[in-house]
Amino acid sequence: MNRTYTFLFIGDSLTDVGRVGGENAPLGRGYPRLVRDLLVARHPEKRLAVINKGLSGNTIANLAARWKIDVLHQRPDWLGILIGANDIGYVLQKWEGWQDHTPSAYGKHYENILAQTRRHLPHCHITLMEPFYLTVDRSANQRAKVRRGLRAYRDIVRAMSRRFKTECISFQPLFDQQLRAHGMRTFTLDGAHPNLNGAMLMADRILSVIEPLIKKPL
Amino acid sequence: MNKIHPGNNFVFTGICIPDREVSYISLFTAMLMSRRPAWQLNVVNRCCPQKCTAYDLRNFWEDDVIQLRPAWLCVLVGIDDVRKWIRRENDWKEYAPGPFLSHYDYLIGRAKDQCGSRIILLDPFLIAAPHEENWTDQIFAELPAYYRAMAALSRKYNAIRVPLQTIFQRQFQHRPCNDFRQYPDIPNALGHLVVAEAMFQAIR
Repeated sequence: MNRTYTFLFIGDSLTDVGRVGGENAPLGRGYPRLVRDLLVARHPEKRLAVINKGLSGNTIANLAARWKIDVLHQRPDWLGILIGANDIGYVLQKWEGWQDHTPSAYGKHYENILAQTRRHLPHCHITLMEPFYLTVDRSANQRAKVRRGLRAYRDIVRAMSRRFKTECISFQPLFDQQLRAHGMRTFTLDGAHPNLNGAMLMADRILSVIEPLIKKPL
Repeated sequence: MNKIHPGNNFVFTGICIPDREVSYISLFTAMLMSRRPAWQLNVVNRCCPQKCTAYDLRNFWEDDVIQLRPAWLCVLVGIDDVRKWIRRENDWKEYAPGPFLSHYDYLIGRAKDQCGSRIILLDPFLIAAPHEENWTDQIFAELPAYYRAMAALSRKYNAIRVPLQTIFQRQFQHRPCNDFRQYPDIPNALGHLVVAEAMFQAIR
């Protein structure tokens, strides 16, 4: 009998998308839900569990604080991390404690959670997802600043991926191409949170990483 | 050849399945955008707001379908035909498998002749196990005759037929029906996605 393959997503509101309470619990209605549903549709015979630990408003420091319970204790076979949109918010708005969210601080927290994961879950496949922002604005406006500012955070995610030998997904170029063709509102209302079209784009890209894994026996 | 060219109208018609936030149409549209962005399809939802049979569709066909000149036309109809046939509702003779075939043939023939549309026929389906309820068993007993009609149409018009009941039965070997439905005739979000994914696999 094959044992269940467990996938865990963690991050902020982009991952949460209504997973706590209500009719969309426990997976929410964002990209983790689509990944689960697509896996079921395409691989009905596989025993799969998908856990969503996204929490709106979270930063990398928040993830680090709940890492032991929400990730290590869950013992996932695959882990997907998408975080950073609120960290840059702190820095750009100079909110209280913003110094703990600079790219440098972000990198230290990220290194900490990945080191813990490698130590406690040596066989876990890890996929880091670079933070992104959905706008075609390249001016000095706020949206353009967020998109530009996230570049430093994405560089850190890529460096972490190399260091800890993980998969890494770059959503920004994928969305940039689509936004040029179809416009921003086709994929998001506010620039930060993907709608169904955006979530499908993310889910399809994540599936390209996951599907080869589930075809191998655990 | 299942080529889709840029700028095509991709029209959905037939029964409108109630949904909460996503439907197989919105999911299919998102899949097209994600997986085939170059196709740039214009998806148009012309599903009927009320219960709808092949006989009823004749009333809407010119306005909702032919005028749009769809390059692709996707139709989901049949479950209400079976219901009305079983219950012997008004005009019940129009909903038997024979008339179902001739009405459906007229509709698809018009779309082919007037618009040259490529046709996708979605099999009517129930998300239910055998012997679950009387009414679902009654429908299951009648469905094969309607499927034979659809097979004939599919051959005649070289249509892509998506065997949704078979696809759901395959899922039920591994997961309970409740994972896919709100009611036996109304899918939940996962059920809608199973339909959308089956459609995408059929046309890709």
